[in-house]
Amino acid sequence: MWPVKWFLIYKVNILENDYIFDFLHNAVNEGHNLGADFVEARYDDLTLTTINYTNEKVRESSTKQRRGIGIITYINGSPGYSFTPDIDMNAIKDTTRRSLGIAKATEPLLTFKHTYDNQPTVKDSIVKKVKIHPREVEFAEKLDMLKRGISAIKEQVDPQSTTGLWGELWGNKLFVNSEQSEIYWTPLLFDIRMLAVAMTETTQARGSDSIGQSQGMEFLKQERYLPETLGTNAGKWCKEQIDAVSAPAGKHRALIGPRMAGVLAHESFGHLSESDFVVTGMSPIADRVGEQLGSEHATIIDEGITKHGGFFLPYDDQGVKTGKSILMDKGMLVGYLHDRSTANKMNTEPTGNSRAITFMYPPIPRMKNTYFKPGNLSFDEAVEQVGNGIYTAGTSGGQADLDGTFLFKCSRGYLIENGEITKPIKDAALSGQILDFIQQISGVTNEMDVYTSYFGGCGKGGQFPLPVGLGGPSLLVDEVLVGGE
Amino acid sequence: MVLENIRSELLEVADQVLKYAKDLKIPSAEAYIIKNSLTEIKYSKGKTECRDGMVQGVGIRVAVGKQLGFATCAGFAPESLKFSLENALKIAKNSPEDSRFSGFVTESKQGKEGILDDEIVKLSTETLIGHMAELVKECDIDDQRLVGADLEVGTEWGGFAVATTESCMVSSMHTAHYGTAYVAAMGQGERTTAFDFKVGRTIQDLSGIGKTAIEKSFKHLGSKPVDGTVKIPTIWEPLSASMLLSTTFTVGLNGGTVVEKRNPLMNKINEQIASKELQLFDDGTNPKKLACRAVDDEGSTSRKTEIIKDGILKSFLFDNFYGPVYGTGSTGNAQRNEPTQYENLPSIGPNKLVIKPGQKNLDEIIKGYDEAIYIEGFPMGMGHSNMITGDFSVTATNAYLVKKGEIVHPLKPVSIAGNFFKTLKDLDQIGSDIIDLPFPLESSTLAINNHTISG
Repeated sequence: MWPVKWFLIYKVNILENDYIFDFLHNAVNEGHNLGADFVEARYDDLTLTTINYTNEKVRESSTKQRRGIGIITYINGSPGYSFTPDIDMNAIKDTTRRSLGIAKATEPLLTFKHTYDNQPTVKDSIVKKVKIHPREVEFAEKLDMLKRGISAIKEQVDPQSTTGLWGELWGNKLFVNSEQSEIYWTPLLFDIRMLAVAMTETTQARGSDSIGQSQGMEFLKQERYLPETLGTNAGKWCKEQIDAVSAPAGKHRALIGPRMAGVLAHESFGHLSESDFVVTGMSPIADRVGEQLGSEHATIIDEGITKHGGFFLPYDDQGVKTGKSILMDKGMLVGYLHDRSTANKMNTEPTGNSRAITFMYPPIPRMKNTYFKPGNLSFDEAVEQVGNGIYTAGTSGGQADLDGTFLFKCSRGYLIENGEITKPIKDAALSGQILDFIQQISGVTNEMDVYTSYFGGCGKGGQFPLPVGLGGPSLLVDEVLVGGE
Repeated sequence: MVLENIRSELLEVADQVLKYAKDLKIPSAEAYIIKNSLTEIKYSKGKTECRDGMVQGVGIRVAVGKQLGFATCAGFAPESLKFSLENALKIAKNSPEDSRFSGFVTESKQGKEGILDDEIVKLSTETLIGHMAELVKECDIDDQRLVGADLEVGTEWGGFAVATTESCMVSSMHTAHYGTAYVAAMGQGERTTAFDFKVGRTIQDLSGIGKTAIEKSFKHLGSKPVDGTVKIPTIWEPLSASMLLSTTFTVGLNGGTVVEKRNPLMNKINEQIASKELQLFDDGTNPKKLACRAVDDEGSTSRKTEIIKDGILKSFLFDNFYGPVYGTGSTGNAQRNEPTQYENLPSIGPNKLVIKPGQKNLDEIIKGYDEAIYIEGFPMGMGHSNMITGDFSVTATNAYLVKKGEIVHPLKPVSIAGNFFKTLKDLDQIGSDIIDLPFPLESSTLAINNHTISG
């Protein structure tokens, strides 16, 4: 039997959800009354908490409440989006009218019709279960975690500056559409980061370690992810950068660590797979399903809820249940990332990739958790097989263009000489064409690291930062262009 | 009229927040209130994505002595405003003191507004879609090399108010209209991309941007590789030059990191940091520019600040937090990041850094070089430079080889490595061709020595 308190909280939630579902149904009905063919209405109520502890001072400590309603109406296949932070009937009617107004006005321009096959009604409620929810932990305790991490940094290096970051996001998402679906789920993620900067007369060195997951606070009790461990790594990696050698410029063999493999899977390949770029022909991998684009070692997956970690995403913002979407299977392109309309257009099933950052934006094709599938090589075997080249253990991100060109910064890297990791290298930049790069993969390790983030995330169409997951094993590549000194 | 009504609404909400703060016995508070109408129409090969709505929200800072807390909410509902005040107060009480904090803005001198165009406010969705239709037509050409065009048109209008319990009550309004064209082309298995845009505080004539983007993308087809690594001068058109210097100057001129002793330029005041030809100022007061605002995001009056004179560093940029610690006071450079400014704490950023143009245009500059690399568009990776050492390595996807004063042929993506601080001293020429850009920095064409180019 449940304790009375928990029963009451559960009851209040149900009532509150019913109340919001009613509002959303009203928006759908209003849309139909005004002539819409199809309506999707969603309610986001997210709370974001940030602590930025820089140089042992609190630079930011904040709580942000992102609550509002977003409505898409469709008329003759033309979509229009509007939004409001006001949860009252007048605002909802006005927002529905505004969305229909823009849908009607753009219709003459449209040749791509957003048409859907009828889907059965979905009624679902998914609450992410954790032992200790971040909202139950006091601000002072989170600040203390950052302080402990910073102390650990200082045991390793004499830093010129230090930063500890804490970010958490949680809340409720509710969705209703013309098919009478009612979906409720609870996003959740935390992200903790430790950064150290040291300066000498000739150089500046940086080191960082972080972890972001859709998990409860109990996750951070594991040895690897204790604030002390993150701080020790940040300090240690900063220290070794002080004497790092310049990255050798030119083409090299390389071992790409899980963090950078994730960035490649997401930024470079993942975006090319997003169906809005595919149906318009803008993506270089449009109309190429069935082609062998990569080496047999390249398998790339995009998944809603993974056993490897990352971001917990049971449903997208069109009410489609997320699953496992295989983009590339042993080098062969097998699929794209769809919303309902592109799936319909390309005669396939939606993949649960229609996502919006907040109620202020319409959902567009975005990724879920994108990663390279692990292989059989141990890490040591992979290093030995590289022979001479570089190992990229960390990345500070980068940039990818829609034509497939990319540039990613390696924030922590090492030389590999005669099959062994030797000296640390200064921030090298890896660049190239993703379609060339995936052909160069000649081996994959059996490690796995999939993570998500609060500080940073995915940016597209002005919607930044959307929480996604990314990662993978380490990738052995025969040749990649390194920009250094 | 509509804008003035919004201004009144913003000031009323500001007043309400201060009243609630008093009710809650909050000793000191600052409210940033924003209301912005956005209409965006995106188009790609017959597919549209449209958004039409009002961004509204409030960001509240509370100070209990020198303890600070921040909380935000979407919308202006009284319970949300109270909830945010209570949250900010709770966080402040639980935060350690920051001895550097000297209070919120007390003066409330309303600066001069930039141009406000009522035509933008009145522009109907149908008219805006008419602008898009013209752009679509411009890009509908019978040429197999054109793979596709992503087009966007839109308007934004509204404003923000800042109020503090220390009698600051100011506001700033804006209007903007824009169009962009991003184009992909393909020829003999090679793919190129290019873009063009127009943006301003008044209604823009968007004709020609599609055509220009298409021409740029075709021009880059037939590229050849650079073999190995070479050290030759680079010539950056205004767009790429502005990108090259925007990120690093934004970081390097930040007075906050000077106070925190982690800015590479911190000991360089009154020292020669750039070529004598370089004159740079920050300007938030030019009424024609998008960057113009009556007050900054903390309520300080906007102004013009001299930054580099004859290559000598004269000033950093400050907000109302770090300025008093440094001893100069704010330079009117507090900014909250877009697009939901109310959700972000103010940080230090340029209003608009402007490099004083030189004498020669782009063609004349190119003519002066026996061998060089000419760079167009956005170099990739600029935002990931090492801001402290100044080392950068970027990839230019739209670069050309210059020989004997002429552009010879386009180049496959080249990696350009250099050091920002050295680049400032290695500035060889500054062009005369400055253009309006929606970036933190506006430059004309720049020619620079000593960059390392790898193919």
